[in-house]
Amino acid sequence: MRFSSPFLSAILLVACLLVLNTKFGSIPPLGKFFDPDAGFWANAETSVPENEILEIDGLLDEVSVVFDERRVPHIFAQNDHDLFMAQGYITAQQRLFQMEIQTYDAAGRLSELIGENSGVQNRDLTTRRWGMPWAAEKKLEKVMQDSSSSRIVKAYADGVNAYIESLSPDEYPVEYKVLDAAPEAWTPLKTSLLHMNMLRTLAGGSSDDRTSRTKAFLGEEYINKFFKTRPASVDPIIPEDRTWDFESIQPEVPESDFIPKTAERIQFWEPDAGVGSNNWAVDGSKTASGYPILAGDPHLSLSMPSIWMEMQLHAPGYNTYGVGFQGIPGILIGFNEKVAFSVTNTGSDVLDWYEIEFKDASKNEYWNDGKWNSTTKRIEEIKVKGGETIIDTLVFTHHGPVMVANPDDTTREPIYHAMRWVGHEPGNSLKTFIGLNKASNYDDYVAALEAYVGPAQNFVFASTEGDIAMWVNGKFPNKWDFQGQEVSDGSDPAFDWQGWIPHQHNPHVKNPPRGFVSSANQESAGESYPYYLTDENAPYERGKRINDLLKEMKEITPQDMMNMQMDDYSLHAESIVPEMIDWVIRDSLNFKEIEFLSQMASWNFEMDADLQQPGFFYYWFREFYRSVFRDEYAQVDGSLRYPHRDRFIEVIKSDADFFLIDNIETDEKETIQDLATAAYKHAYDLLDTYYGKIGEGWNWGFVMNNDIEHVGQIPGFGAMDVYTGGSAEAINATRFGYGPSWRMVVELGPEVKGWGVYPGGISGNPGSPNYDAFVENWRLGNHFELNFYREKPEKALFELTLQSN
Amino acid sequence: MILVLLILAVAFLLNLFLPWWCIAIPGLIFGYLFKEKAAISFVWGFVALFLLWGGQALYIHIANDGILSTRIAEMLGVGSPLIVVLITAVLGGAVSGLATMTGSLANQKNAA
Repeated sequence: MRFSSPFLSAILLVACLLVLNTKFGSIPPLGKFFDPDAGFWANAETSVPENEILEIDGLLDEVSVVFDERRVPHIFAQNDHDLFMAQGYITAQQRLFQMEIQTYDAAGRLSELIGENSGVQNRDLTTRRWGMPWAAEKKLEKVMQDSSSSRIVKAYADGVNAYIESLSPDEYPVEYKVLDAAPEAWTPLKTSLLHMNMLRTLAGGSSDDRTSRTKAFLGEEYINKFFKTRPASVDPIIPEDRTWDFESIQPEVPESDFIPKTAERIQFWEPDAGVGSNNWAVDGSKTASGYPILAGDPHLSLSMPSIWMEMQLHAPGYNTYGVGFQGIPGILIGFNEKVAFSVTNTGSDVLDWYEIEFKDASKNEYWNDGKWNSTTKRIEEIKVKGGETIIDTLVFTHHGPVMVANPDDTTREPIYHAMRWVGHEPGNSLKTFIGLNKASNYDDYVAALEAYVGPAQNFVFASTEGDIAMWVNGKFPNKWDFQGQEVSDGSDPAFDWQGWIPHQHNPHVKNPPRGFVSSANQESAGESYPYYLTDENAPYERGKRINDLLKEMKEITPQDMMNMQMDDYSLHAESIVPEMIDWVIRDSLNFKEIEFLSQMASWNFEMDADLQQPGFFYYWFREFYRSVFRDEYAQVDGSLRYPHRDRFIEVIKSDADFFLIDNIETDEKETIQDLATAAYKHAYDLLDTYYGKIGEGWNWGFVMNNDIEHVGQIPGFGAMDVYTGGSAEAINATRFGYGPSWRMVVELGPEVKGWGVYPGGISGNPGSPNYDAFVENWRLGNHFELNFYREKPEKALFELTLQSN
Repeated sequence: MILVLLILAVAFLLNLFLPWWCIAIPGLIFGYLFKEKAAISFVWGFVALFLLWGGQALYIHIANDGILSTRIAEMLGVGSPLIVVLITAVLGGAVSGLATMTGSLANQKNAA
């Protein structure tokens, strides 16, 4: 056949068109993708958006959306329906892909979007087995029972859909083009799914199985020492001197010698280790203005676009500024003309596992209360893009969904654990946040909190009337001491949750004599609080640092609070570095190592970007800690529970002969000096290998490797190597891509003023200069003064007018 | 040269409304009508879309300060945003070149 045959040439052309129109693996269809008119190039922003009038069916009245110089949208509506419809529309306009991928994730539907990929499939399966979609449906029912909430979620969905319907494929966000996908219609269920995502991230932690194994291996005394003892330095959220004037309801403790079959591995959700937050408020006696100031900075896994988006919502009876999650109506952290509010996560054990015995392989019946009881089932279908649908059957006991606790164990029969989780309780958190958005005083705030189920949060509050308050708030099971610390007996109803702590008994304090309230994920209340909440809280350091500073501060200005949010001081380092330096055996060090030791000795314990000691300390302590436990913990199949660093330090400082110090893999008996020295050399080698000869390369700002990744993990769409100070134990909790995802300071008074910044922008479009416009200010701790308008401003960067046909 | 301009102009107009593969249409038509040799048809067809898609991409790259093209370059692991512009030009050129050659060959077959 001759090369110039028209037939061959035509085949070549058709083949070329087909290949370039097809997605291969993660490579998008190249012709479609590179098309300058409709491919990714169409997403490159080449000018500032202009004023526009948009026709949107379903609006009752005209809505104006004013974008200020940072492009923060300020929505001015004439009624609540239009307000939330416009919020849905504008949020989708800025962040559609983020909204959708988060709900696909929460629904266990990522495979539908991404296609065959074992990691994604496992994530979807785990999400389904956790009952995420099941519980989202229950939550939605509850929301729909409340007429005002149901109107809000419906209006919001209508707004999102109005935007989606206005799009032609060339206008899809660029991520859809990368995935060769299209947006689907929004529903109120998706709002519930996002709420489930919050629950999973913030209230999805449990160590029951690990604790059971640890107890079996290292004994009860070990559990008592590390997991039932509060570190002495804890300064709880609700101060120790708070007295409780109610009669507590005490649950019955079962008489049982139940020992769980120590499971090998359980499919528990590993919550992000970087989740934690700060908030505080000071009253007028401590401020320069005489009015309260409130500060809040929620720490989460940082992402591009930011998990938050700033917005102002304005309608008759409604004027609130702050940040929210994309897909949830209202403002979650913010302020209005009279009050301000922010949240941190509450450490509460609201997830327990129950060992279950089934009658037979059908799993139709399980043993409980001396008889066989029926299970219920639910079929989950996981669609896979370009692949076969996966069918999975969920089995429920009265506790909740059942999972195999030892999936990788081939030597034993499956061990079944049922999950009891507050995340499965029906609830309407929307009511709480809308209530806070509209609150004008302390009573409104408390009323709003009552409807809240979870994830439990420490809600800080301040009002122009002069009140400050903190409620540790959520629906808490009323547990006996340490109930659910280990795997529970699923056959004995005495192990069930016996009820709830009444809302008015939740830890809370209003206008304490010390003049401030604060929280940083530490213990919720002092030892006198009559209910058990959890054995797992954040280490004490951040909370104590905040309280130590606030106690001393007077004549506080908003700028003082902003500076405090950037505080890098490490109480953790202060509590152990001098000892570790003492322990180092100098004879074992080479010249350079000794030289650096004197630098460590002169360190001020600030985790600053430009210092070299913080990075060294990070790796030195990490290796020291690990070397104490590593050898013993490796003896057991499956993971054991590690103590928190604060309690560990307390123990190791008081007991130099602590029995885990010796390395059981060697013949010699190691001392604490040996471990501290080996860890020191390890840290030196590690930095030397990865960051070069000692010098600027060792600066903590580089060593902390602070990458803010794209929400869909697309390379090139993140903000990499953001050089900054901070640490998990410092108020500025930035490190390794985690940290303050929003920093806000609000000064109450006749004219409420706010400052804030997050790493990201308003626009979720990686092709817009606004996409990462705030990252530099966030890095430097330069909060923006927020434009909180009382009425629609004259000036705007651009303005959208939304009107019905 | 006229062939290049015709393909370029018609492809530009069609691509405003139709999916990307419409850029093959002017090549097929004008390749057939101009009846150039196969190799020459390919070159002219290629040049037309190389200039069109490459030019459009370059314009957007500059007007956008290279923000998106830099991110896409990183995503594709190709180092420079200008390579992203070049890939765009070559993809368009290849499709159009093939189409123009196919058009011209079809006509030569008829003639023979």
